[in-house]
Amino acid sequence: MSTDAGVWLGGLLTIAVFSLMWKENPFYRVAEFALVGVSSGYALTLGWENIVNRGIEPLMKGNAVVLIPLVLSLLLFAKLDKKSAWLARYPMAVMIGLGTAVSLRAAVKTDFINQIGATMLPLTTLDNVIIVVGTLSVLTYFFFTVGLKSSAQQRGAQLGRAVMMISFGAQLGSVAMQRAALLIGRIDFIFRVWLGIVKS
Amino acid sequence: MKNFDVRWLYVVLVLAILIPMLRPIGIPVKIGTWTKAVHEYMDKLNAGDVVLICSDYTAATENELGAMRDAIVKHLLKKNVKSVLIAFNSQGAPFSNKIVAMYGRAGKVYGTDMVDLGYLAGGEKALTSFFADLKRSTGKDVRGTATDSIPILKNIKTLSDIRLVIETASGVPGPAEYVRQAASYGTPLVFGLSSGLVSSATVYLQSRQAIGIVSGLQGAAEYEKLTGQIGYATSAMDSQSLSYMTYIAAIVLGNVIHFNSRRKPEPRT
Repeated sequence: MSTDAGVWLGGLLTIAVFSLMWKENPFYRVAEFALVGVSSGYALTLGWENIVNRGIEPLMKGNAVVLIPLVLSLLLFAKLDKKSAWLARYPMAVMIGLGTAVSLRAAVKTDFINQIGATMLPLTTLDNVIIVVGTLSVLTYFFFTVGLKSSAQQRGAQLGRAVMMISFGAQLGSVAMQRAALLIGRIDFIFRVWLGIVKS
Repeated sequence: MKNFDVRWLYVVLVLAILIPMLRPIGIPVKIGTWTKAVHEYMDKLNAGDVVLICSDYTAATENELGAMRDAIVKHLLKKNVKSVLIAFNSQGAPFSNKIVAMYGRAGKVYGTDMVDLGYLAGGEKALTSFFADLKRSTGKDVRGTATDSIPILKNIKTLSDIRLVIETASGVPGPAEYVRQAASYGTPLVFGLSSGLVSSATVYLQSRQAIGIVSGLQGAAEYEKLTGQIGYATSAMDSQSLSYMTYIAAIVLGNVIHFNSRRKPEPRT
């Protein structure tokens, strides 16, 4: 059994979180609030460190350019007062505009042209046939402009729906795998690291 | 069965995970093509090459990503490859410390063989500025040393000067953001991803915008097997396999009960 106080705290908090599976209780609530509090405190500390390192310190050294993001950041707090709330629209506009521009600049090539190119495959293997037919059928499903008039289009759309269902199923399966790994990690922590019942 | 207490399912799941830990079964680990591609590429790295390792994941996925990080870093150390570490997810920053510790235990020198640039806020926008100028965008490392005076960064300006990007992620920024922002620099990408993120990232393998993916705990076990360094992921494989079997059994049983109850007429009151 571990003699490390940190391990004991981690173990007890893990049990407190798992106790929700039995029923709602104060131990679970304490663990939940502790997590929220610690996460917020951590994010705040890291955020402040970023402001000091990349804003205030360069400003003190005479780099006036950092005044622009600093002032824009301060304007976000204008939302707190109804009269001056409109001022917060400027930093929001910069953030959204910059974010969209940065993504779109490259997305046309990486998420559009390259992906279309990757779908233009010779129909010589089963994998290629599945990729090409699957992509075309899903695109048919979303072909809303003139509607699905012919029966071929309708069958294509039905196939597209099935392909999407399989894809969603695979995604759900992946998430289930992730959750299983998380549970394995906690059980390993309790029985190997904390209690020492499972030997390394 | 309508009144089945779901808590029994939790008990079965915990037992399915715990029993193989106490008595290992030794279910064989089959190497997947994605992990093999990552390993083959990493194996071609030369001593002195500099790679970028990004820890963009949260504590919730440390079990999966920590195992693969350890396996990959052990491989890098064996090849004498240098590492620049950074996180674009605030919770990811502490995990870079573990890589620094691994390098330290192997006798490597901080600043010469590896450097930790901490956390850079801004998500995809931060990626853009970091890739354009690694030193200027960060300013200093976690120990407060100016990036201009760190030996490992001496010949590095943009991402083009980095040999390989190893992105470990569980959310945003993740594969899509890295592919978008790294595209113009020509530096190859490999991903180490939590299972939940893998299905959305495979499109980048098919379009050859990434070398490969190490996927979840399974991928970590595969990497351990490829490098011959058996660790936590391999030992967790039995528990993982049995937990999946429990899932499948629960889904099948649930469906059988559901369709059975639909077939039976409702009792008259």
